[in-house]
Amino acid sequence: MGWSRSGVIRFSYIVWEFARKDFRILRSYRLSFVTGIVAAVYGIISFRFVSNLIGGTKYIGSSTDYFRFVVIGVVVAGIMRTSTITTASNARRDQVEGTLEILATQPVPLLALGLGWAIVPLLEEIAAGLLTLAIAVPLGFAGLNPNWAWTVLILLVTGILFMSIGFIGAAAVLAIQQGATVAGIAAAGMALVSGTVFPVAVLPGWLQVVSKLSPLTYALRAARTAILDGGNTSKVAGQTLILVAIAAVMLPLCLMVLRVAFDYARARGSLSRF
Amino acid sequence: MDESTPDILAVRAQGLMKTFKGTRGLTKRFPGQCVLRGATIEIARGSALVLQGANGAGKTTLLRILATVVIADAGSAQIDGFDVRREPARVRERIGVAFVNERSIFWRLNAFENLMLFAATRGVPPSQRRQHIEIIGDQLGLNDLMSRRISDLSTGQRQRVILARAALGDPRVLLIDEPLRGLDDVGVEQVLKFLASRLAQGSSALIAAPTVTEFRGQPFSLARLSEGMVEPATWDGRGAA
Repeated sequence: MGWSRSGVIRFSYIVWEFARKDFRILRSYRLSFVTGIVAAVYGIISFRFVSNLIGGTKYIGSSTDYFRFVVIGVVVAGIMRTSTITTASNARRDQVEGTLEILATQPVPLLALGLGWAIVPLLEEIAAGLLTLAIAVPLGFAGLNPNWAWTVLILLVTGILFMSIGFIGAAAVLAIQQGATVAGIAAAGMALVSGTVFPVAVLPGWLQVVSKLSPLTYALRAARTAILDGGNTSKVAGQTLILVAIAAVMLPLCLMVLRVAFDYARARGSLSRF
Repeated sequence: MDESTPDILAVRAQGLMKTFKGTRGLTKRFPGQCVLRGATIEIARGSALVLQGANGAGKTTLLRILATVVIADAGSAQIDGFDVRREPARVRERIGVAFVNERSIFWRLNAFENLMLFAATRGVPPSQRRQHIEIIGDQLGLNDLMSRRISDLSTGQRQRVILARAALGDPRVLLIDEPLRGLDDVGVEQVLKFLASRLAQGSSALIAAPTVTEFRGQPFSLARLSEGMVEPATWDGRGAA
């Protein structure tokens, strides 16, 4: 399938059908979305009390209060975690169930297969994130100056960026079957150093350097600017551009790693491995 | 390559060799397994070959190599003139595959949803998908089962869904592993008719099976896979043709 107009249309149809498939499967597990939201609400309420305890802006080094800081951190980190881990775990699911091998016999680009693993969980997490923000409003998240169009764009780019990293996890699935674990370790590490629930400034110096290497740092910075300082369009645009640039580098790079792992699995005969 | 070139074979494999590497357990290392030792087959366009072999003989590995999901250690293979290793994307456009694995369909979807998904991956235009699926479903006696979840179907019914999926998009070459597995007498008859009708429409097929009694009388050739090598055989059991 080439990248001609008809190729792009066919690619879109395939991704759409993969998304419909996952949506249908998701719909057959209705409770999972609800339990995810309930867990998020509990988390947000907990952070409300933590925020009361540590007192407003004292520790975060900016004009916003801790509750606002942490709610955005939880939402963006949730998108990061889902994009990274679910891509790998869905690849593993297809490998274990035997559907991966049959999908590999189809005239489908690898990118479509990768998007198929990621797109519905990513959209589900973005929806859950926006719902979480709405739930946080009566708890003290109000009175902001958000730019919602930029916010949604940033969350989408964040999802695409971390889906790319999820492709590395999927590659690990094909190579050593432990991709979800690898992706989970990477996601936890990024959440730790990037300023998710506490500012980077409280980290030791060497970890602050490491945080500059974490794409989540830039995703959090862009999301916080768009939601807390949305009127400053040039600042939001600049930070979004950095995020887009990182995604533009990561996507082809990670796709290449996935392709190499795919060929490795074909040589080992491990596309289907239980 | 001119796809209409008449002398190009539907399937051509020469000297295929495959050894699966050993694995390391906690306390011991399991040795590798040499599955194919120079397997060679040729199938003309519009023909079908039944490949008989004992369990573990390497039939499935041979099918997987031709289906581009396993890479051979040595030898070469082409589908419709396209090399399975160097041109896998072109090969995938030409093959319909049915492996022995009833988990290879999405169990929480119904039969129709599964077939719609794979009709999309096979490149069947959206406006034609429903009708295309109904035609294939009719040939395999599936149309009454389309709205049922795969998890609610019997083994034989799932097997027919897997075969229907392989035929989506009218591929030039069908690569089918044990098509009669789990089928009752009616199912066997339906599937044999279905395979014959695919051949009549110009498709070719490589069919792997441990036993071949049911295929006797069909317009298929026969070969045996033994010790990693393919030998021609005849239906009367008198050895090489």
